[in-house]
Amino acid sequence: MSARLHPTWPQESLPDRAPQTTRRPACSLWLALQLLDPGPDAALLDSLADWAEVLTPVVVPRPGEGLLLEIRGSLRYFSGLAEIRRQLVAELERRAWIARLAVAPTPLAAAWLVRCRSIEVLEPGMLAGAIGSLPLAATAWPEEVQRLLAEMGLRSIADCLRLPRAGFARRVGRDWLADLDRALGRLPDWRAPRRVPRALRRSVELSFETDDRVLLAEALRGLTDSFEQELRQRQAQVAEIELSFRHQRAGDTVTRMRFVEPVHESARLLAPLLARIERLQLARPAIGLQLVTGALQPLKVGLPELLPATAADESAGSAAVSEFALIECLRGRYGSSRVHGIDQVAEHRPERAWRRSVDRAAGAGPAAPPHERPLWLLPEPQRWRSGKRCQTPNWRGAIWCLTPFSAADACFTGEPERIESGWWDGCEARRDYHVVIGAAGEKLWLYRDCQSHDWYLHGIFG
Amino acid sequence: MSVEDLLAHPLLWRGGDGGSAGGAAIATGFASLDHYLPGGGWPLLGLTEVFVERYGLGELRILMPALAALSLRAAAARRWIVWVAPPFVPYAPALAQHGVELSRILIVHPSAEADRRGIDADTLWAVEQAVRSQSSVAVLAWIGEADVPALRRLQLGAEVSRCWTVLFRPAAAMQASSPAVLRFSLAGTPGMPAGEPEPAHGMAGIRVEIRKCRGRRPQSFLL
Repeated sequence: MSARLHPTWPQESLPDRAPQTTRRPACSLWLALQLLDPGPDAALLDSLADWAEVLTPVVVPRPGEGLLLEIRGSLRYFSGLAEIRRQLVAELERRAWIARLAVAPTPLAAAWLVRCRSIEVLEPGMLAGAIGSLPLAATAWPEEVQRLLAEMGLRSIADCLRLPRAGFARRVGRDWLADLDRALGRLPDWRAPRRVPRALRRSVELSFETDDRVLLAEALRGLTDSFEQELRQRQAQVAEIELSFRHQRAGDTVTRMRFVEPVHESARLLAPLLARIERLQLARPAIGLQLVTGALQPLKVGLPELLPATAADESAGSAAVSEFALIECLRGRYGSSRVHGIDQVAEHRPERAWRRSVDRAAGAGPAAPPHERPLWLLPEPQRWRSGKRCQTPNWRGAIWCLTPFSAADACFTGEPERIESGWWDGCEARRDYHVVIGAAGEKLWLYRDCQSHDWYLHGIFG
Repeated sequence: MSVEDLLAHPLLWRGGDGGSAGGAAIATGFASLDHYLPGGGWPLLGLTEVFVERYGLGELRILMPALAALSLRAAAARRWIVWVAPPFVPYAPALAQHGVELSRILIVHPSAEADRRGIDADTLWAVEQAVRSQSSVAVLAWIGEADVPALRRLQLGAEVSRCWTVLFRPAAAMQASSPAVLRFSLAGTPGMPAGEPEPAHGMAGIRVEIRKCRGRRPQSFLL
C-alpha cells in the first residue's frame, strides 16, 4: 500500500487533464442494491441475482453488499424505471428483505450512492453534484487512503474533486483518481456480468434411510421440477444427467443418462430416471439423492408445424409427445446399447451390410442388392451338416434349433449368388449363397464356403 | 348417448357384421386375406398374435406389405416401428427391399430373464411402454410366457393408441386363452416340387391358419 501512497510514476505520465470521455455515460444506467436485512449472505445474494435476471441480462454481484443491475437496456421493455423498481421492491417484500436502491449512470457512482442514500440520478450532468456530497466512507477505499485524505482535511468526494489532478495522483494514488474518473463516467468501467453456472446441481436429503422406490421417485420428481423451473428461467436445456444415491458410511451409487435430444421439461427428465431406478439394485438404502445436469445449452424450441403431417395421423393429441421420449425411457431401463436403430451399409459381405445406428442420423442408404435377402440374419453364420442338428444361440441368448434335413430332401431354388469380397482387410469371403427350402418348409439362406466347401446357415427368410 | 354414437365408438363392435370402424385396419397386401379380415386388413385396434413353431415360414414376409405402408406413415408423423426382443438380426437390406423405411425402426433388447412366475415381464414392460407411448405406429414383439392380465393391458393400450401390435408367441401358447383380436399360426408347406420357378419375392408357400378372428370364423389360407 505504501507504493500507492507514494507513487513513483514518471512525471510526464501523470494524468493532469481529465481523460476525454470516449463513450457517452448516458449509454448505461445502473441500479445498485444494498442489502440491509438480512445480512448480505453469499447464498442469499445468489438467489436474488438469479431472480434479478428477469429484469436484465447484466447482473453484477457486489460481494458482501448487494447487486448492480444494468437497466438501460430494459427500460423500454418495462416501459420505464418505475416498473423495474416496482418489481424489484415487490420481490424484496415477498422475501421480507430490506434493501436500499440507487440509480446512477455509472456503476461505481451507483455503488457509492447506495451505501449512503436512496437516490435516482438519471442525468450524467448531475452525477458530480450527487456523489460530491457523499462522505469519503462511501467510496470504500482502503483505510489508510481514507485516513490520509482525512488528515489532509478532506471530508467529502466533492473535496477530492476540487483538488488538482496531478497532485491528487501523486499524493494519494493513481488508482483512486481513476476511481473518481470512473464514477463520473470519464473512464470506461466495464463490469463482467455474473457468470451463469455451467450445470445445475441439486440434492435432497431424506430424513431417513430408504430404498422404497415410491419415496425415491417422489423425491426425484421434486428435483426435476425445480430443474425445469430453473432451466426455463435460464432458457437452457440439458443433454445429460447424473443421478447419485447417497448412502451412510458408503460411497455413492451413481448412474448417468444421455438424452437423444436436449430436454428441459420435468417429465422428460424424470421418465428415464424412473425407468432406471425401477431396475437399479441398490446395495444399501439411500439417505439422499443428488441430481447433476450436463452442460447447459441454449434452449431451442421447435416451432409447431403449420399443417399437421398427414391426415392419417388421426390422434392429434400425440403431436405434443416427442418421438425421442420413448427411446429415452427404454434406454433408462435397459441401457443405451440395448435400444438402437438399424441402417444399411454399402458392403458386399452380408454380415457387414447392416449396422446399428445409435444416433438417428440415417441418410439415404445404398441401393438394395439385386438378389433377395433374408429378413432374419443369424448373428453368426452357423455350420450346417446334412441331416444333423444345427443349433445356434439366437439374439436373446436362447438356443435356437433348426429341424435337421439332408441335402437330398432340401429344395435348392434358383442359381447360387457368388459373393466375393474383403481380400483387403483380412476377412476375405468367397461364398456361394443358396436359397433353400428346408424339410419343414422353412426358407433358408445357406452358403458354401468356396475354400473349405463347408456349408453354413446365414439367414432365414422369415 | 344415442345408439348411433355407441355404434360409432371404435371399441364397440357388432358380432353380426363383423366389420370394425374404417381406418382401424391396414391392408395386408394379400387380396384373399383383405377380403376375409373385418375392416379389410390387419386390425389396428387390439392385439394380433402370431404363433410360430419354426422361423422361416413367412412370419415376417406376411407382415411386410403392411409394415412398409406403416413405415411411410411413421416417417411422415415422426413415429416409430418398434421391434421388441427379435430372435435374430432384422436384416436392414432385406427390409429395404420390402420397402420399409429403415430410419423409423427402433430395436429394443430387454433382458431375457423371466420373473418369479416364469413370465417374460421385462419384454412385456417394453411392449407396454412402446404401445402406450403415443409415438409408435407398430410394435412387433417376440414374447415368451405372458399372463392374461398383461395381455389385456396391452390390448387396451393398443386400442387406445391405435398402434398395430403384433405379438409373436411360441406355438405352445396357442392353447391358452387370450384377449387378442386376431390369432393365427403359420404352417410349413413341405413337398414343394423341385424345379418350380421361384415366384417374385418368394411369396408362395405361406400357409396361414386363422385360429381366432373377431367377427369371422377360423379359416386357413394359402398365400
